[in-house]
Amino acid sequence: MLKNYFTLAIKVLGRRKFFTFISLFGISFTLMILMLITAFFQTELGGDAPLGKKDQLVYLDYIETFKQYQDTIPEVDSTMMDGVMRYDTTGFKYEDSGRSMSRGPGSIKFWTTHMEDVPFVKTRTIYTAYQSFDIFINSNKLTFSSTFTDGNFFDIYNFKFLAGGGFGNQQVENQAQVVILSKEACKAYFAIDRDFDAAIGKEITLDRKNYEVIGVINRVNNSFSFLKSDVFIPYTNLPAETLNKERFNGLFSCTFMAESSSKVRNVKEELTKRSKVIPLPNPERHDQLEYYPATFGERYAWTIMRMETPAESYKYALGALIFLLTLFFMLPTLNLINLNISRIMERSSEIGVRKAFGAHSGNILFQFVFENIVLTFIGGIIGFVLAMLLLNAINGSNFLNGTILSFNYKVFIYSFLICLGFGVLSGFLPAWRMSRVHIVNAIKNNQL
Amino acid sequence: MIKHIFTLIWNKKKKNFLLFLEIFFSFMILFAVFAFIISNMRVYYSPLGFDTKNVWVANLRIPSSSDSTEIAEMKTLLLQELNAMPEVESVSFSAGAYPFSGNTWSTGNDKNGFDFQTCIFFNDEHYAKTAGLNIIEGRWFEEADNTSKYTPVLITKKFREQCFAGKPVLDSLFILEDDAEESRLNNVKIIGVVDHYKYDGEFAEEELGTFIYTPSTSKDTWVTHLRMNNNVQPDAEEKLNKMITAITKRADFSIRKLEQRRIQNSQSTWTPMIALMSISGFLIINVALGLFGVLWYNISKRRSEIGLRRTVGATRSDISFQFIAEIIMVTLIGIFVGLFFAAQFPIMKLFDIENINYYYAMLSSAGVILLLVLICAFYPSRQAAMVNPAMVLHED
Repeated sequence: MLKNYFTLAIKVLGRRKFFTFISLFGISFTLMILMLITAFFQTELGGDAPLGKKDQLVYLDYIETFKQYQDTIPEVDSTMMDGVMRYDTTGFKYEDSGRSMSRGPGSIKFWTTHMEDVPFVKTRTIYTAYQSFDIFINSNKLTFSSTFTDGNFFDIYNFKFLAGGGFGNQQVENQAQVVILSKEACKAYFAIDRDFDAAIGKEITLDRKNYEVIGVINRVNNSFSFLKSDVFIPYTNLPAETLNKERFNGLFSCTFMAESSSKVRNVKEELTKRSKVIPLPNPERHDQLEYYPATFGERYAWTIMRMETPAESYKYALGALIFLLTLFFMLPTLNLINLNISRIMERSSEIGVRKAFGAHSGNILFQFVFENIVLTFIGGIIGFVLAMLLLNAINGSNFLNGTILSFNYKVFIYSFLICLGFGVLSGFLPAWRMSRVHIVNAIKNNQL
Repeated sequence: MIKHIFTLIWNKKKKNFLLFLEIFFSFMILFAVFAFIISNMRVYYSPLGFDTKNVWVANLRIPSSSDSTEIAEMKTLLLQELNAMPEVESVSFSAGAYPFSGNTWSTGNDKNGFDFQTCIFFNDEHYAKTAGLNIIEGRWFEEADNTSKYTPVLITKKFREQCFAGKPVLDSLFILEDDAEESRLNNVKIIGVVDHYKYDGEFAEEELGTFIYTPSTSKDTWVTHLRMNNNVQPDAEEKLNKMITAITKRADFSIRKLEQRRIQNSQSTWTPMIALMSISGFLIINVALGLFGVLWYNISKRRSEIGLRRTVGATRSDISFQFIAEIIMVTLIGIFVGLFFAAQFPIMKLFDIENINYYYAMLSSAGVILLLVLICAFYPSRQAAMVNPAMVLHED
C-alpha cells in the first residue's frame, strides 16, 4: 500500500511542475538552513573533543571584588507636641549610591589559597588565554595564540593527541619548559605535515625561551579562545610578577570538574557559599567578593547575552532561540499549508471515488500526509546537498571567524527528524480538510 | 466599494485567514530584521574618528611594579629608537583601552551639576598625530602639560554637546572622578575637543569619551601605537620585533595592524547580519512564490465569476482592479495587526536601540511587503482579465 502511495505521490508531483517547484524550493531551503543551524550547535555545544565531559563542568571565568558606597538618609517622623509640630529622627535608611568594582580573572594566589578542595569537585584547572606571540621564520611572520595552564587541563579537556601527550602537574611545578603544539602551528614552524611524531622532542623558541615539544593536538574549531590556542605551556613559565600577585585579580580563569554531572548543582552551591567567607586582601579598597559559577550551557549563553547572572542569560537565550526558530519555521510551513489547501479541489474527484469504494477518512488522511512526507524528503535531500555545499563555502571563507562547522551522523539524524516533523506539520491540515470532503460533492463538482 | 471588497474577503475568510497569517508573520520577521540592520547601519555610517590604515599596535606587558626611573629611561630609549626607524612616522604610548582592544575604562558622577558616564583613555602627547584624531576646538597635549596644576584632558564632541552645550569649555575645570584613588583625576581641565572617537568598533555606538594626559615616560602606559609611512618593507615587523625585544628584554607581544583589527572586529557584526539578511531574503522569495501560486490558482478557480461580470459590462481593468484590491485588503489587515505588535517595541523600550530605527523598520517592512504582494498579484489578475466571457460561460 505504501508503495502505491509512493508511486501516486511521484505522479502527482510530475503533474503540475510549477507548484512542485514552489513547494520544493521552500522545503529544501528551509531544511538547508535548519541543517546548518544544527551543524553550528553541534560544533559549538555538541560535546565533541575536547569538550567530552562538558556536563560535569562548572566555570568561573571572572571574579568581582567591590565596595558598596551608601548614602545615609535620616528618616524623620513628625508629632504634635504642645500644639507645636516637632520632627524626630526615628532611624536611618541606607541607599546604594555607587559601587567601586573591579572584575576580571583571578590570580594564582586566589585560586590556590581559596579554591582548593571544594566539596564535590573531582579536579579543577586554571588557565589563561595569554597574549599572542610573533615568531619570525625566514622573514615569515607567524602569530601563535597561547594558553598557559596546569596539568589538570588535559584531564578535563580530552584533546585528541596526534602525537605525544599532555604535561602533568609535576612538570608544571618544576617549571618544565615543555609545549603542546596545534597541528597547524607544527606545520608552520617545523614544516612537518604528516608524521607528527617527528616533532616530539624538537625545540621551539617562544618569548626568548626554548621549549621542548611534547605533544601535537588537533586544533579546536569552536569559539572558546582558551581551547583553540596554537601553543599550550605550563603556567609557571609566565613572568614572575604575574604569578606572585597578592591581589585577587589576575590572569586566570578556572574550570571545576564535578564528581559526576548530577553533582554540578552542588558544586555551584558550594562555590557561592564560599564567596561570602573568603577574606579580601585589602578591605579598605574592596571589601566584598562576588562571582557567578556557570555550567557549560550557562557560560555559553552568558558570553552572547550578558545579563545579571549566567542562569538568567541561559533562560533568556534559550527563550529567544526557541522564539526565533518557531517564527522561522512557521512561515515556510504556513506557505506550504496555503499551497496545499489551494490544491485540494484538484484531487477531490480522486477522493470521492476512493471514498465511494469504502476508504475511511483516516485512510485518506494518512495517504495525504504520507504524500507530503515524500515531498518533504525529496526537498530534504536537495536541502542536504545544498547544506553541504554551503557548509564548505562557509568554512572556506572563514565567515564564522575560525569556527569550522563539522557535519557528523548526529547532525544527520537531527536533520532526518526535522524533515519528518516539517512534513507532518505542513501536511496535516490540508490532508485533514481533504479527508472530510463529502463523497457526493466531490464526485459531482468534477469531471472525472 | 471598500465595503464590497471587504464582504468578498469575509466570504472566504477561512482561505484568507491563512494568507493573512502568512503576511502577518512575514511582516513581523521583516520588521525585526530591518530594525536590527537599520540600527547597525546607522552606527556604521557615523565616522570612526581615527585612522586605521598604516597604524600598528603592540601591547607590551611590562610590570608596573618596576622602578619608575628605570622605566622612564627604557621608554625614552624605545621612543628614540622607534622614531629613528625610516618606516616609522610617529610613536605613541597609551594604556589598555585603545581602538578595538575590547577594553573599556569608564567613570562618572553627578557632582558637577550634571550626570555623566564617560569612557577614559590615557594617552601621551603624540597620540593625536599617530591616530590622526580631528581636533575641533583647542589643542592636543604638549610635553609642557606635564607640569600643569590640573590634569589636562580633551573631551569628545558628544561629551561636549551632552554636558556643556552652548557654553565655552576651553580651560574650564570639572570633577572627573569623585573621590578617585588617583588624585589627579579629581579635578581636570579641558584643553580641547575631539570630533569623534568610536574606539570600540564600527558597529559600536559612540559613547562619551575623555582623553587624559599621561606623559610618554609614564610607567602605566604600555600599548605602543606606531604610525608607519607608505614605504614599509616586508621585514619591518621583524626589525621592530627585534628592537623592542632588545630594549624591553621580553618577547611576549604581538604587533597587530589596526586595519586588520578593524576588519575582524566588524566581522563579528557582519556575520550575523549577513546570515539574517540571507535567511530573510530566502523567506521573502519563498513567501512570494507561494503567494503567487495561491493567487494564480484561486483566480483560475473563479473564471465563471469573471465571465459573468464581463458579460454584465465590467471592463478588463475592472476585473484586475477587483483582484488586486482584494489581496491588497488582506495584506493591509495583516500589516496593521503587525504594526500594532511592532509598536510595542518602541513603547515598551524592549531593546537598547533608538526609537527612530523602529519607525524606519516599520515603514520599510510595510513597503517591501506591499510591493511584493502587488508584484505577485499583478500577473494572475491580468490573466483573469484576459478571460473571454463567451468561452468561460460556455464551459460551466
